[in-house]
Amino acid sequence: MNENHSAILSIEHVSVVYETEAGLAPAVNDVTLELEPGKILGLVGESGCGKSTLAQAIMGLLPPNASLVEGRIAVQDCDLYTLSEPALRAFRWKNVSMVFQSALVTLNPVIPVGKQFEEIFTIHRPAMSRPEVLRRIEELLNLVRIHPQHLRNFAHELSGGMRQRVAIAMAIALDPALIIMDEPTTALDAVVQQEILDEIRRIQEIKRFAVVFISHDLRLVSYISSEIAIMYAGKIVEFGPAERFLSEARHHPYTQGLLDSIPHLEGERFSIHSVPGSPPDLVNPVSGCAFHPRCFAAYEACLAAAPQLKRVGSGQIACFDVERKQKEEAHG
Amino acid sequence: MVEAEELLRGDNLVVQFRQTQGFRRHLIYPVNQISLAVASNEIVGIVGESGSGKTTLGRALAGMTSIVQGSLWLKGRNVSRLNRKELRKYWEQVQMIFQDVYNSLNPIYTVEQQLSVPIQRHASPTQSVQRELENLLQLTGLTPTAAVRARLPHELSGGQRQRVAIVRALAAQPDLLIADEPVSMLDVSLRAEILQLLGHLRDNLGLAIVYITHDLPSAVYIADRILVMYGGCLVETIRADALIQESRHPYTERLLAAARFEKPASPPGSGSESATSSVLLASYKGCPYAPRCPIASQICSTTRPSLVQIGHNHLAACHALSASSEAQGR
Repeated sequence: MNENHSAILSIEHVSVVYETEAGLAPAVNDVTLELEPGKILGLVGESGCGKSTLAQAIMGLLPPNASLVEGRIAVQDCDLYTLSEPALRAFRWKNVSMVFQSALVTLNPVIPVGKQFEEIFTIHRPAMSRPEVLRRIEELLNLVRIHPQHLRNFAHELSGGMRQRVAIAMAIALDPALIIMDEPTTALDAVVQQEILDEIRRIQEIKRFAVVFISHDLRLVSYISSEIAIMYAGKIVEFGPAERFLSEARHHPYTQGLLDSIPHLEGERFSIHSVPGSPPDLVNPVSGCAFHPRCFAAYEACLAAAPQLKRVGSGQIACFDVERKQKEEAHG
Repeated sequence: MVEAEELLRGDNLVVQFRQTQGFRRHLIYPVNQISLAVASNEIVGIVGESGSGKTTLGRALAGMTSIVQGSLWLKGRNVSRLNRKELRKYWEQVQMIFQDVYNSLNPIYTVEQQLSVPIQRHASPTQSVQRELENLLQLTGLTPTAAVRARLPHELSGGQRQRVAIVRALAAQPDLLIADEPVSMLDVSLRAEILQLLGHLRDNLGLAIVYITHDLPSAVYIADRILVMYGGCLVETIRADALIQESRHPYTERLLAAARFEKPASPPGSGSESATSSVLLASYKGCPYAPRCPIASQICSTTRPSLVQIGHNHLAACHALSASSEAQGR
């Protein structure tokens, strides 16, 4: 990918390693991604594939035993890892904010929601007067369709959907250019989940911020995203516009597994299959392609070397079997 | 279909909770006049959202929550009010597994230690506990069994932990397994395995299963019959293979639309569709879905519709539907 200054987020050859008791665990391995303003990037994979670690790296919030060993992460052309701790703290929330799976964890249980809202402004916008702050909070709540009367409530008094709306309102409070959403709807019922997704899209169209949307549910992600990256064992194994995951036939075997594991409501009956085997051991990685022990299409080449992302249709796939099939087709 | 033998039947079940709000106390009915039956070897899906009462219904069926009205029957025996000793007997026939696989296993016991005790308790004297454990581990796909036996819960994946919980429930050799959201904490890619395991257990052990979930597609996938629950009431019951084509209750329609990420036909006026618990109040007399229903009329907020037959093996509780089927009948 070439130098592009319009990108909101640029991740270049990023690797993150955890120090664990068992040894070094590379959780993110040479990931390169770019996100333009107003786009929603879906990041999909099973637990332990490195998607949340990548999100933490983007926020500059890696846990103490993890470190960025290689690469560069820039938000709006500002390299996060050159900033001092105070500068980073100011940068977070103003330029890049985050919505987590459980708003019950992020909201303080003993302070009313409204007070927590005000705090954002007293810390980041000390010049704003209180009436101005209150007017702004009301605007934000209107945007996520929460009645301002709920500002007096404590987090536990709100329903799951309302809490997530409040979390979204807080994330957009300072008009950041980028919002990381880590499984924001996983804990919600189907109906409320769809509501929140529609809400995110509606607000995103008004405010034009970019989103990195993390989930293990490929169907949900293809509903909301403009482009999707599939991660396995810390690497991106497939990348492309969201439509390709619903329309195009050729996928990485892991992507295919994810697609086949979702029950559909088309036709009368259907079959679902899970991806066989278990997630990879990061401390003792297998040789070659990390997915080969679980892959139905694996052959000798997959054990010898790790495949690189190559262009396939409208996207990119890192798979020797897909490469081989493409070559066969090209030769007739 | 041949009429299968009835295993569990509930008649007009009511569960009541007391709720305190400030200084006021309310009575709510998370399970409100529910009648249902589970045939042996049948998988019944109970579908509804948080607060619909589905978990409370499951716990009532499992004898973990007391029933204030109505009666529960297991193989023709009244099990509505059991003392502690009778409950122990009941739990040999009815077992439950839970959503939270992280907290339902003892963290300091290995898989073998967790499982030997319940197997020992329920095995006949001639049975070898070791052989029974081996069989159950094989049956639930916890292989290689030798390695799995020695592991502690935190060394297992989420899917494996749910399998261990299933083995523990099976140790009692129950006739009925109540599974409350058994897959919703697992990755999408692992859910299929556990659902298929439940189907496999039904086929091989003759087990009946009550599968409780908020995920309609998975219930359609695994169940024979689906009960849709809202606000403590059953709103529609239908064969799973007919649900996609023939379901007609507005709430079932809404669940189908959400599962397909379709926008609701006519969105309700105010912002959120989140359920309000006020429809659970004992004092509320209308249809529980009326505050959210796009086709609600006057009568819906004052009179609760009863569950009536609207098709073959197909019941719904909706004033609009019973009115239209009556009109057709004339």
